[in-house]
Formats: sequence, structure tokens, C-alpha cells
Amino acid sequence: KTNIAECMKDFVHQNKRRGLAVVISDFYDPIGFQQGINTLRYHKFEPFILQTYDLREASPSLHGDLTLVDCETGDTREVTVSKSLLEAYEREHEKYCKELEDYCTKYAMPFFRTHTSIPFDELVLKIFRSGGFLR
Amino acid sequence: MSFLGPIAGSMWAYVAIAGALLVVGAYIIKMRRRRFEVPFVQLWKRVLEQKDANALWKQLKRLISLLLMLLILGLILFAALDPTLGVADRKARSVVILLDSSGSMKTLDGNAAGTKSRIEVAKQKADDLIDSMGGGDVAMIMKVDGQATPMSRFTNDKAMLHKLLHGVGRSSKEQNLTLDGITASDTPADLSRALGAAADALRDRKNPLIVLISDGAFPESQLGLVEWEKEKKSGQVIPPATARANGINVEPPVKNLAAIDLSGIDVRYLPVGRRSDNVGIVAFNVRRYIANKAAYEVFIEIQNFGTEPAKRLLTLQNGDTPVDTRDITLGPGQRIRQVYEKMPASEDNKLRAALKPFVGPDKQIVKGGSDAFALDDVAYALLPARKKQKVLMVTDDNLFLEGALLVYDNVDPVKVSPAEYNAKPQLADGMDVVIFDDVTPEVVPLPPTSLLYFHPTGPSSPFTVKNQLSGDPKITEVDEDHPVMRWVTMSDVHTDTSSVFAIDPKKGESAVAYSVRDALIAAKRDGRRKILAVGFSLPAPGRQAGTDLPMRVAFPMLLVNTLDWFAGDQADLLTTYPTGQRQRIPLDGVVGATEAVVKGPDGRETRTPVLDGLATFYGSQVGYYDVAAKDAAGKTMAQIALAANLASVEESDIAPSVELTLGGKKLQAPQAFEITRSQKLWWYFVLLAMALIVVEWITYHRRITV
Repeated sequence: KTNIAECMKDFVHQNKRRGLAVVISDFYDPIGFQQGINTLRYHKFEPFILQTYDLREASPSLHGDLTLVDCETGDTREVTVSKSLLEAYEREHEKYCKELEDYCTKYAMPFFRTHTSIPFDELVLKIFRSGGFLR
Repeated sequence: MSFLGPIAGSMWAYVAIAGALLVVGAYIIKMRRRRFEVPFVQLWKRVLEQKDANALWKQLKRLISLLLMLLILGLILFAALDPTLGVADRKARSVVILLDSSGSMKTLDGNAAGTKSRIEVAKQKADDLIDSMGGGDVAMIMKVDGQATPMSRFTNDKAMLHKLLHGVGRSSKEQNLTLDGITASDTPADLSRALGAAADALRDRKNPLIVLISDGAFPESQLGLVEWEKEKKSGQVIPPATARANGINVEPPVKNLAAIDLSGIDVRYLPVGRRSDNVGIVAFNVRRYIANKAAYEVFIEIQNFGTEPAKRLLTLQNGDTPVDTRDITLGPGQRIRQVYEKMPASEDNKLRAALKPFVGPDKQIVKGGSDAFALDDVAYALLPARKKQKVLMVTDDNLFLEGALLVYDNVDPVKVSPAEYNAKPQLADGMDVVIFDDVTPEVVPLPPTSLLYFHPTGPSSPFTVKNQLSGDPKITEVDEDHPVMRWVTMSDVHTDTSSVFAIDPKKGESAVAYSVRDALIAAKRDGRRKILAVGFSLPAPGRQAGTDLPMRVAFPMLLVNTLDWFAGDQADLLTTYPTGQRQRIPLDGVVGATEAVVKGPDGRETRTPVLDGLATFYGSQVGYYDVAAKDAAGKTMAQIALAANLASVEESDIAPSVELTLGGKKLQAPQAFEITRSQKLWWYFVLLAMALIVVEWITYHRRITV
């Protein structure tokens, strides 16, 4: 079960030496991602936010009458998935990601979004290039 | 709008309620959904919260979907009621079209060229009538010949009515869709039967109408057998006794129970036909002479129904052999009789009389030499079949018996002595008749050989011998209805002694001659053969008891009658019948058969019931028929050939009746039908329901209505 706030709290108490903290997550937290990131900030860490997600999560290929089950919390929700609902979901997913990005920008935290179809080494190179470490 | 559907209102309501409950139930029951795991259901909740802002519309969509299904159900149920516009018109009629299909409708005077028959013209008139029907009118076509045959139920389907009239061709071998249409038969018309059937069909229907399309060739007896008004009940009824006491002459009301009740029914008449000249054979028959069955006599009656003199060539044929050809001339309305006497027998027994056009020296048909009605120009008759019977006499030189058989040239007699027979009973094999003269053997030939006994005795007697009568017992009574005793007088016969038979009717035994109450001569059927036993002996050398029967005329008659009875040859059997009448034909020798096969002139075979040895015969065509009864193994038990002729003066009198008076009322021509608009609406509703089903299907799969 994702709980970023609790996780960050444990992290800052276990690591007294302040520095760069790279947070790699999908940030799908039912209570929100802000509290966890703020915990890092308030303990003088420099958070680097790397959001990763599956493309199927952003654009699910669902159709018909379904019972959606949250794979972490077990929460259920009955839906009849139509094309308009899927579009609305995609918009909502994008909005959620944008909220995270805006939050990072607001507090001058480096933010990077990627998806699982990109290999990890390529991703690292890509981050380095975007940060100016590599050309 | 009215509803013509066959479903009762209450039944329709039950089906509608049940259907609606099913549809609503199907919407209430939740479907089982597929489970699908997602990483973050919170996102979906957020989306759905936004969507829930449109919850009312969502609920409405489900409600619309339900209402759509209910609407589809309602449309289908409404269509089942057969909603029709215009039928409620009170002027709409129920029409029975009586189409005369009798023999006279074959007359070729439908057009000036003489190539079209009356039935074709009648069918055209029926077509016009059907085409003029309004939307609310319903019609039934009834074929009228010797029977009344409804060809359809009441319907306003004009295309189907036209098909019934004219038939449809074979559309494919698989479907075998053939309908012959209405054709004229060879029988007279039974108008009373047709009017009765039409009146029954129209009972309790609004605006009943009968349209008779015919040439009017009906007997006066049928035209008068109609009641136009129901018997009125007077308010004051005077009892006959009171009336007589008061000097009031009360005549009992005369009511013909057979009259057809046409009260309240409008009957109209459409005449067809134009020519009236016709010469036809109205009677044709043949019989064998009683004394000389080898010869026969032919009777032909011919009538000129026209108003001008007529000439014809009359030919008579026996099989393929021409017997006579002569020219005949008839004055207007004249009827002549031709009798051909003492015609010699031949191998054939099928006689055919024909009237042929009279051709002048210039090879052209002379004026008045032909007519347009051919059906009565040919007539058929049959001579009862004669078969030479093989007769075995088991006797010791009885000249009386041998002499009596000599007078009958239709037998082939053989004689053996009782000793020879007892030594070799197989001598009787293949014989038609065996005569046992004062001998009662234990072994008798098997059926169908018939047996004649004179003075049977002992346990082998075919009839139980009760006692012996002596002292010149007189024959006091004979069964004149039995074929053996036809024209036989035995009151002057003397016998010395005679056996008395105990008759058991349960075994099919009957006494044909009595002395007071004692049976002296007995007869019975024994399966496929017949047995006759005479209780006394014939005189013969060395025989003590005797009789003077051989000295009487009765003796050869008795022998001939017996042999004829054995052979199934009855002098009064008719083999020529008029068409269109139901007859009961005796099938000699039938045991246990319940039906017979009738093969008509066209080769078609039909089945007819047999009751008490009598087969029902209905000739619908002129010509020769074969009636045969077969046993379970398919072997013919009995067979008879019959001839059928039109033999109807009314049908041969082809002069069309322009006016027809039925029960004293002159029938008018039918008026044009009131045009009432009518439109069947059911298929519009079905189409709409189908369109809605398609809409529902599309919107469901596009998730519009879910």
C-alpha cells in the first residue's frame, strides 16, 4: 500500500546526513503526495522527483460493465466504461501528473516523468542529459 | 380503426402484462460485472464524481432504455391485434361467391368464336367482383357442382382469391406449389346444398351477400326450396280446437323443413352464357335379356334443346367395334328414343354412344349440325360381365339335373360319380360350382368354389338337419327378396320327404323356402363362397323319394338363379349411374373390407368406404370407373366396373337464364361494392419495432443508453 508520507518520515529519521534524495514512484497515494515530499524538504533534503507509470494506466483499454478493484487498497468501484469515460479518465490522469509537476516546479524541485516502457539505463542517460551532466 | 386479430382481448392483456414484467425484471436484475484490477482507483473515483454531476441524465438514460424496450414490446403486441383502418365501416360486406362449376359451364359459348367456356367467363366475372371489393369487404369462394366446396375462408386478400380462381403454376419441384384453380366438373349443380352452405357460412355476419355466378341451369325443385323470411310469430295464437268451435277455418301452416333459410341475406345473380342450341343424350342404358343373357338391349334417349331443327350422326360402339351409325333429325324441343334390340354378345362389354356433328356433302357441318356443349354428346354404359362357370356335377346319371343345365349356355358342366369324387376330391379343384346330388361328402373343395346340395344328410351337411318331413310337405313360403328365388314359384311343387334345416342367422344362414315354419331350402355365405342346400332329393333311377320340381318351370329358373347368385351376377344390378349423385354399389363377395379403391376415367385412384358389402360411389366425371375391394394382402376380393353419364335434362338444357327467380323472388345483379378505405397497419408497427430494436442495439453498444 502506497503511503509516501510515512515512508519519508522513516527515511529522514534513519538518514541524518542531508543531501540529494531521489524519489522514484508513481505517486498514486490515496492521501496525497505533498506531505511526503514536504517531509524531505523540511529536513533539508533536496528531493529529486522521478514519476514513473505504465502507459496502460494512463490509457487503459477497458470496455463495458466492470468492477474496478484497487490492487493496493482493495477498494472497488462499479463502472460502465464508455469512450467518453475513458477520455475523462485520461484527462484526469494527466491532470494528476500535472499537479505533481506543478507542485515540484513551485518549490524548485527537479521533476522528471517517465513510463515503464523506457529502459532504466536509457532513462538515466536521459535524465543526465536533461540536467546537463552529459551532452 | 378496428382490430381484426384472432387474439382475444383478455389473452392479449395477459401477454402484455407478462411481457412488460419480463422487460422490467430484466432491467432490475443487475448483471454480473467483470472484475478488473487498477493501480489507483482514486483516479476513477474522481472521474466518476465529475460524471455523477450528470447522474440525473444517467438515470434518465436507463429509464429511456427501459421505456424503449417497453415501447418495442408494445408495438409488437399492438401489431398482433391486426389494427386495420376502415374495417369498421358498416357498409362492409361478407360475400359468398357461388361459382357454378356444373357440367353446363363447359359450354363453349363464352365468346363469339366459341373458344371460351362459360366457366372462364364466370371466373372473369368473379375477378371483377373481387377487384371491386372495398377494403372492409371479405369474401369466400364456393365451388358449386354436385357438391358445395368452400375454396377459402372469408378473406379480403384479393390476390389469394384470384389464385383460388385461376390456380398457380408449379413454382419449384421442391415446393410443389400447384393449385389447379376452379374448373367445371361433369356433374349437375346442387344449388340447394350450395345455398345452405353459404347461408350457414354467413350466419351472424354483417351485411351478408351471396352472389351466384351461373348459367341458371337448375331444376325448378331447387329454385323453389328457399325461405326468404323467418316464420313470424303472431301475438295471438288461437288453439285449433277453439278456432273450430268458433267456426274459424284454421289451416295448419305448411313449412318445408328442407327449405334453405335465406332470411336477411341479399342474394344476387350474375348470368353467363349466350347459346341455347344443344342436342344431347339424356338417357343411355343397356341390359341383358333375362331369358337370353347372351344378348342385350340398348336404350338411348336424345333431346334437342334448341329452338331450331337439328341433325346429328348417332354412333353406337361396343368396345372398339362399331355397332350402329345413323343420321337423326330432331325438331325443336323434340325428344327421341332409340332401342337396339337383341344385340349379340361380344367379348367387349363397354358400350359408348356418341352424337357427332352432321357433315353435309360439301364436308362442312350443316346448319344445326353441331352445338357448343360436348359433355352430353357422349354416353357410356356397361354390360354386366359374364363369365362361363365351370360346374362339377357329383351325381349318378341324373338327367333332370343335366338337362336343366343344358338350357343354360353360360356353364361348362362336368360330371363325376360320387364314388369317383370320394376317391379323388381334387377333381373339384378349379371349379366355380360343385353340385352334390343326394350325396354329402366329408371333403369339399375350398373357397371360392360355391356349393349346391340336393338332400344333404349327416354331420357333413352344410346346414344342421333338424328333422325329416314326410307326407308331401308343401312349400308354403319363399323369400322373394333372395336372388335365388327371383321369379320362382314353388307352391305347386310336391315332394315325398324333405330334410328340415336348423337355421342359425348368426352364421349368416337364411331360409329361402319354407314349409310353414320349417326351412326346406337354405342359403348362406361361407367366407368367399356361397352355399345353397335343397332339403329334398331330385328324382333319379333307384331313388325312393323324389319330387316333381324338375317338371316345373321353377327348376331351371332355380338353377339359373343359383348359378347367377354364385357368380355374383344380379339381373337388377345397375352399372350405369348419373354423375353428381352418391350411390351404394353392391360388391359381391366382400368380406371384412372397410374401403374400396375407385379408379376414375382419368386414372386417378380414390378410396371409398364399404359398409355391409356396399361401396359408396360418387361419379364426378363421365366415363368408366373400376371399384375394387382388396384384402389386407392386397388381393382383390371383389371388383365391379361402372359407367357414369351426365344424364341431366337440366344440365343439357344450356339455354342461359338471364333472370333467375329463387323462391319466388327475382334475383338482381350485384351493385358495385361501396368503396371503403382500409389499410393493414400491423406491418408498420412491426417495422417501427424493428427500427427501435436496431436503435437500441446501436446505442447500447456505443454506450449511449448505458
